[in-house]
Amino acid sequence: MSEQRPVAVTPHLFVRGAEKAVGFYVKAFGAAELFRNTFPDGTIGFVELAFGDGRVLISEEAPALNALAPRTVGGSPVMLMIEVNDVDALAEQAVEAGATVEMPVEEAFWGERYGVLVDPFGHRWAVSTVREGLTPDDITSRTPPKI
Amino acid sequence: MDPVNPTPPLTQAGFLVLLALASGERHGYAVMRFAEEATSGRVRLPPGTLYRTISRLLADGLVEETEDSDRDAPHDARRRYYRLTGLGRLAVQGEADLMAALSSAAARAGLRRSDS
Repeated sequence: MSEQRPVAVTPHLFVRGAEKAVGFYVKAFGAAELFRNTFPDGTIGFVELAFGDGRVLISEEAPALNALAPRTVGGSPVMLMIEVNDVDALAEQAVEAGATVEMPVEEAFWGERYGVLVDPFGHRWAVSTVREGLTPDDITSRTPPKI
Repeated sequence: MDPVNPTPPLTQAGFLVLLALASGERHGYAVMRFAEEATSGRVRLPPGTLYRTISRLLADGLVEETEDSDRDAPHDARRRYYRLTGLGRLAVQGEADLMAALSSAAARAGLRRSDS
């Protein structure tokens, strides 16, 4: 295996209120806290969360490091996708924990049941489950003419 | 939960930790040594990997910390004692069965080395 072959890609999210955000991700999405690094003054350096086989890092916003939270920059240009067996149940659990629905969960033309949520810290999450196992040709033929 | 797979999926590191605990409780350092011996040094569980793997197994309810752990010691997975839960035993048994079946399939495909 080449030494340059990536092992994984891990998003690093900046939030205002890292402690609360970690609590939200655990409750809303069933994330598991694997590791936490805290500065002597109590500020969270980073928290490593597992979402299934994927990992996500959470840090407190730090403008001096250009590590800005979505609320600071006025939105987020990134969407994180969680794949799960029961997407409706996960969305319900996330909303109960404080997420808002941007796009309700529904059948999507590419063969998944899919919806979009925004968490209380401004990050956007797609939730998705495989439904039909479509071939690439199936998906192409079902693609609408425009967005 | 998935009816075909009633236990959470395991990473290789997760499987090794469960396998290390299958014969009884151990502290983290013994788990690291077991992994190295069981794989003839091919798989290592450095402290960071061990800590994250055990955190994950605890969160999934596959292992639990025993009362023998030194609670006053700094939080270090190498010094704490762990044991399998019932679900953990089910998970490691299921994975071992799957590996045995795959190993047989590999042998039938002519992949068995003459020295093993």
